[in-house]
Amino acid sequence: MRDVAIVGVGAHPAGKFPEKALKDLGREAIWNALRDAGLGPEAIQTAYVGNSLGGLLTGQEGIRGQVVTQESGLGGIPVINVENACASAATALRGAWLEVASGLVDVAIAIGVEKMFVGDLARSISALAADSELELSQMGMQFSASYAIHPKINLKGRMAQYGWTSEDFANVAVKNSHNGSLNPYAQHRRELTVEDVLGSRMIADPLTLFMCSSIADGAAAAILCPLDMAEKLSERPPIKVAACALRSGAYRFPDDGAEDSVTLTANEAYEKAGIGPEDVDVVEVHDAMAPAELLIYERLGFCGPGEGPKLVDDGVTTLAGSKPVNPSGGLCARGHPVGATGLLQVAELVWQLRGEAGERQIGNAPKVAMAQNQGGLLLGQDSAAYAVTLLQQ
Amino acid sequence: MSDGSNTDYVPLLPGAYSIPGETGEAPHLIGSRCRACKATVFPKMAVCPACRADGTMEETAMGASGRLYNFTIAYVAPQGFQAPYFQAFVDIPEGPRIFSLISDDVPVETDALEDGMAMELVIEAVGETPENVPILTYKYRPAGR
Repeated sequence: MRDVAIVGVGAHPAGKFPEKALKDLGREAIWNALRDAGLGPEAIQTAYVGNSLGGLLTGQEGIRGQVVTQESGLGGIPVINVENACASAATALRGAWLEVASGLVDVAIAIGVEKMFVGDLARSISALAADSELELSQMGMQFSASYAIHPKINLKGRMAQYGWTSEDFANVAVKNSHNGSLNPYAQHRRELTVEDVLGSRMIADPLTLFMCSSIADGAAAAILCPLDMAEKLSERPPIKVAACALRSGAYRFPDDGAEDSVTLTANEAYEKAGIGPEDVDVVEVHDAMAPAELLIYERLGFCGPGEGPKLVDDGVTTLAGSKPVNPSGGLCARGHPVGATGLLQVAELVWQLRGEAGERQIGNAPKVAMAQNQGGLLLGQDSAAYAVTLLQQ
Repeated sequence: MSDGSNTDYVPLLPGAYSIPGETGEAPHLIGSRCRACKATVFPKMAVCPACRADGTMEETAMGASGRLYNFTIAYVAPQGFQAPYFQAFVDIPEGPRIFSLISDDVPVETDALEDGMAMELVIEAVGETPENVPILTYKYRPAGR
């Protein structure tokens, strides 16, 4: 396997864009990535296109990837359509990485694109439910509520177990709203206070509206090539893809003591990259509900069980802290266009590593970045897909 | 519709629970138990997820009673459901921890339920088809009401 680098990233902001179709969102992200890499569309030899809900929401059930790539001037090349719920984009990145790493092609693009605003909110919400195993969505499992009580996350249970409070939860949303307020790609740019978050309407006890990600349109893309080629293509220091770990959920039995799948995925990535959690300088995590970030800290090895709120209280995970988490604003502020999220995370991290993140640029010249993306829910009580990507400068 | 002949009700998840009046038994869930390793799952599975054996799973009744693992009230609902409504996980004595709705008998209030309380299974309507046929599913309610 060859070392692989990301030579270009691009995004379309997350938000509500009624006038834009899936292919418009995708085209903008692809061309932003091409311009960023200094390459033309003819340089791209293969494309992996992540999307989750376009079949149900736009009616384009098949060939969504080709529809997007044709619109962008990438005709003729192999296009692989990727669906892995909220982890579709990270899965697309892994496919593109594998093709370059294996030597099959030299230049590959990974794209994530989602169109969720279709003029009928109830339909969008029901489409999201279809990313859970059918029996769960048929039984009326509500997505935010699953974060409150699902055994693998169980934020309500953590309150009882560790003494976590609603204020602890609000603090995460406040931190991320600040980051999002500085991000031109973010859907929600209003900086929130603890009072705003706790005073917003209850969605699923204990989660209030401003602790939850909302539906969004958006897209992101990353262009990959061999590391030595990246060094020749650009003056900028190349960003190496140090690990692309992907797992599926395992069937879980109650209190079986098995290691959490986020941890298993992260450990696989750490091992591949030859680093540990202490080496990570900046992180984007999958906080579909902001308080889940507290649990993800421990699962990625950043703190011990129950210690998440302390990292926020001590400012460790703020933009100015020693380990900033979700500098983009995360899923709740930056936005969560489902099949684009994993690559929006990666684009943010590439900008941070290059020092190009504008007002939200973190200090300390970060060298190692981590993206944690997951999606779907299985009857066996695990998420369907888990991805951890490590980038190194 | 379970067999195409009955138009009194439609099971939401066909084959996942007994239907009152159909079997004459107390309401129960129908899951699988592995002959080889004794793992018990709900809903049914063909390959054991614990020992990965094929052909060892047997259909088994379960879940007539349980203990509330935890619950919340959701204030938004997907199509076909009416908010506010309870969402819960219930530990059943046969092993599985399962997602469940709570019976319409229980007022949708935080203090109507308590983690760890004894629960009993009911088979209840969860809306109806466009032809006004009740859709039946499993739910739990506090035991002995």
